[in-house]
Parts: sequence; C-alpha cells; structure tokens
Amino acid sequence: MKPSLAARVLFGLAVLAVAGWSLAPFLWQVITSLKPAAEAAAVPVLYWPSRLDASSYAMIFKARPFAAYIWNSIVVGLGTTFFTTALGASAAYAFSRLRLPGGRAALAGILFLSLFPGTILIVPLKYLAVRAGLLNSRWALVLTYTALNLPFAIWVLKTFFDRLPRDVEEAAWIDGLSRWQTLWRIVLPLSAPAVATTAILVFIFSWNEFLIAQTLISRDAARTVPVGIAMLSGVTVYEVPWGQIAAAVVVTTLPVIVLVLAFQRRIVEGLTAGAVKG
Amino acid sequence: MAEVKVDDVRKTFGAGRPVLDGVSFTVADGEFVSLLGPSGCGKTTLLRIVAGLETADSGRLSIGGKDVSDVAPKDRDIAFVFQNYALYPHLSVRENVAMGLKLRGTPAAEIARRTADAAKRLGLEPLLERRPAALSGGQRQRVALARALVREPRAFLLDEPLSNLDAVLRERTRGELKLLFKKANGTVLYVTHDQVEAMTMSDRVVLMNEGKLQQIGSPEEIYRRPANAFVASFLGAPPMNLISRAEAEKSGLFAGLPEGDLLVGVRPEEVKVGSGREASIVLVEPVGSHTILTLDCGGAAVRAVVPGSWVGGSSCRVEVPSPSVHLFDAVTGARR
Repeated sequence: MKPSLAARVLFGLAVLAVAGWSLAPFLWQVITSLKPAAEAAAVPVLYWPSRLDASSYAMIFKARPFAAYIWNSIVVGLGTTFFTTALGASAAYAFSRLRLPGGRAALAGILFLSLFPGTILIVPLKYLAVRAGLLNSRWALVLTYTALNLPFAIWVLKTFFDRLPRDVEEAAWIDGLSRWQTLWRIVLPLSAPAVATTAILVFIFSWNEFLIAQTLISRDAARTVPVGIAMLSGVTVYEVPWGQIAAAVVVTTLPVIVLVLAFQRRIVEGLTAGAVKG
Repeated sequence: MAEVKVDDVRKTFGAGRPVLDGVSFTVADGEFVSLLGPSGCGKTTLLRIVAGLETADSGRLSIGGKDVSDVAPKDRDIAFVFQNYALYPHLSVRENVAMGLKLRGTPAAEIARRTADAAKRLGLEPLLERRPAALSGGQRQRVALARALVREPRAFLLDEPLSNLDAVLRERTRGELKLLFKKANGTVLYVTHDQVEAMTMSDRVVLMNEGKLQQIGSPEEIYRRPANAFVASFLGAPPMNLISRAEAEKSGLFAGLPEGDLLVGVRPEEVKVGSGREASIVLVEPVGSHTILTLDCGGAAVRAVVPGSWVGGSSCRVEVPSPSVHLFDAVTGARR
C-alpha cells in the first residue's frame, strides 16, 4: 500500500526535525568557526557573521601543534583498530568454533569486565603506564584502547561468526586450508560487514576518547585531538578562543563523517545482521 | 583412484545411543557405493568420518591401503560434495574450482588446463567469472561437482548432492552424475536417503538403520533378497507387504508356512491379480503407469500393483506364487 500524501509529508517533517535536532550543534560550530574572532563570543549572540573569516583555521595550525594532534589521533586510531580487529577476530573465531574448556565462562567474564566504569581504571592505568615507561607514548593509548574495546569486538564478531555456515569452512579444510588460513581467507571476507562495523566503531571511540588520553599524555606534542582541543586557551585565562575551538571541532569531525559515509552500507548491514534471515 | 576401507567404526555423540555401532565395509577401486538409510541412521556421520570432518570413537579407516584414521582432511586426498554445495561466496566460479589445486602448489598452467576441462565437462564455461550468488541451484551444484572432479582425488564423497534440486532436474542430473563418475573411473561413496538414487546409480548399496549396517549388495540383490524385515520394508514403492503369521494364514494366500513366529512378505508387484482367492478392494491409487490396490484378504491388508489403470469392480481374485514369498523371523527380523 502506498502511504498517503499526508503521511509522507509528516514523515518528511519528522526526519527534518530529528536531523535538525542532531545537526544543529554541529552547524553552530561550523558558523562559529567562520566568524571573525570578535564576533564569536559577542553578546547578544550573532547568529550569522558579518563576514566569513577563516583565520581561526589558520590559527590552530600555525600557532598550535594541531597537525601533530591530528597525526597522533590517526596513528592511535589506526593502531587501536588494527589490534582490536585482529585480536578480536582471532579470539571470536576460537570462541565460535573450538570446543574450549571453560569457553562460555570466559565469554561471560569478558562481558563482565567490560561493565566496569572507565573512571575506576584511571589511577591504575596511570600507575601501570608509569611503571612500563609508556607515559606520553602513543603505545600507552593503543594498548589501553585495544584492551577496552576487545570485549565489544569479540562479542560482535563471535555473534556474526556463529551465523556463518560451517560447511564452507569444512570445504576449505578439504581443499587444503589450515584453521588460520580459513579464518583469514574465508571467514573474514565473508564477515566484511561485521569487521567493518567493529573497526569503524573502535576507530571512532579512539578518535573521541578524552579521559585516558588526558591522563596518560601530558607532553603537548604527544596529545591527541580531543585533549588538544580542551587545552586550547586564549591570551589570558579569562579569554576562551571560541572561534579556534569551533574550527578544531569541525576539522576533527570531518574525517569521521567521511569514514562513516564511505562505509555506511556496510555498517548498517553489520548492525542489522541476524535481524532477518538472509 | 583407490579403495576405501571402513573397519568397525563406532561413534556416540554425548551420552545418547550410538550413532554408528560398529560399521565395516569396503568400497573397491573405481566402485560407486551408496550409503542408504532413513534420516538419522548415521550415514552422513559415517561419510564425515571418512572425510575426516568428524573423528570416530573407535575403528580404523584406510584409503588406498594407507591408514588415514588420524590424518587431517586435507591430507586424505578426497573430495567432498556438500548437500548445500558450500561454495565460497566471495570467490568466482573459476576460483572456487581452482582453490584446491592452488593450495596444493599445482603449476598455474596445469590448474588452467584442469579447470577448463572440468568446466567443459559440466557446462560451466560461460559462468566461470560469476560469483555463486549469481547462479541457479542447478548451476551451483555443478560448480560443487567441478570443484571435486578437478582435484582428481583418490575418492569422491558426496552428501545428498541432489536433494536440493527440483524433481525434474534431480532426475536428469542423476543419470549425468553416474556417467560422469564412470568416465572419471572414480571411487565414490554417495550418501542418500532416496532409494531411487541409490538403486539407479550404484554398483553396490550399503543399507543402514540406527547406526547399524543392515545389508550390503548390488541393487538387484538387496531388492530381490532382503537380508531382514527392515531392508524388505525400506525398499520399493510401495514397500513389501509384511504380515504376521496369523494374518497370513487367515488370508489363505500362503500355503505350507514353516513352523515358528514369522513375518511373511511379498512384494506388491508379485501379487498376481486375476485368479485365485476372492479379495475385496479397499483402496485404488492410480499412478499412471500402474495402479496400487489395497486389498482385504480375510482380514489381512495386502497391497498389489497392477499395470495400467484399474477397470475392475470392487473385488478381485488374487494369489501369491510361492517363489515370491519372503520369510522373516518375527522377533529378530532376520531372513529365514
């Protein structure tokens, strides 16, 4: 049945309302980033700048090590994504296919561990990083983020692997593939939607993470973007450089938007996997 | 090609009754043997044990005279055709077929030659660059067969490869498969629950029930001389009439039965209609080429097959020639 005109108009309005609600803060940042410095914090609020001014963007790259922040975030994000996906997929495949003694208990334990609030980890993590000599090192973040994301990755991938037909793998063994080869050459390509979903969500987590990055990294040039933005300050303590903060937010959000748009179909496939029989 | 020998194989899953309870038989080099039996009789488990996909609790397996009981599936040099084909969905037909050869380090030119040859034999040439998702069920089944043939393994193991095809295609493929494996001179172990497949394709049939081997023999042998009441009742459509001694005596169709507690059997097509004792007709089932009659002979239900369509009335005369009578022990089911 084709929906009536009224229903379609209402649906369109509802979509606009939700999109507007979600996008408004970001659009506000875009506008603020393009205001001349004096107008960014003007009272009463100026909703539209008198002229477009890109100097905030120039400032964050010239006056501050913002390029280094971005580079740190990319390295930490890719490293975390790689280790989480590789370790998560191997563990998930073992949990899914091998009859491990205590396998179910281990899976439940993994889930249980991920229930602890992140804040209680801060002090022990700092202590561990100091002892391991990893303070101010990107490795400190990669290792921590990987550990924090592994439960999620293992559960998502295991659930997906459980649904894959086993006889394709058996055919592969008879053709001559080892267990590892079967994982890399048959199971992972068939799990592309789940792997892509996991990888992107892990990357976004790492890209946005603030608390741990703030705790383990104190040297300015080693900071990641979220901490870098928070540390942006004006000439005096009382001045908040809103224009530069907005410009930094815009610059750091763009890669995530591009990433999600590029993999959107895969993500939706991955998140809805198992919802209907395919 | 090589001989496949199964020696006293046993398997139990969990704490239940055994799925395989001491099965032994040999498939000769180049022989086509079907494993036939009802669902759950253990035939697929046995095939998977031969392939190395399951391990037996006890018993030995040898292929070509070499004990392979503890050898990994890839080193047994067998090919397996799965019931739902189990093609690699992310690879083209060509890559699906060539995978096994590639992994064994076969030279590229040899792979190309053998892949082309298998594709030609199965009519897959126009489909080589497609993915499995773009193929029909029948075409996928051919890819699965090509993947097995191209390997030129020592034995082919097939698990109900025709069961996912529609009736017309299944009929046609049955004949083609038989010719294909004859030409390849392949040692074939073929699992099916379809007696027509087993009877028409095999050199010999291994009939199983409840994890036990019931009878091994040529299709002719197991049909003409069933070893026990299970085999007698499993084969034939409609299956053999099996009635108790008391009913047989009441029916008046069987004279001179020996002493003892018996099951008396006669195949429906061997019940002669037209002369003999009077029987009333309970049910007429026309099939086209023949008609199945269900008769009441003095209280005993007996089925008879007559050629063509049935034009007679509500009763007829029947008799059973004594060479057509099969006798089984009523307790053990064994042939007497």
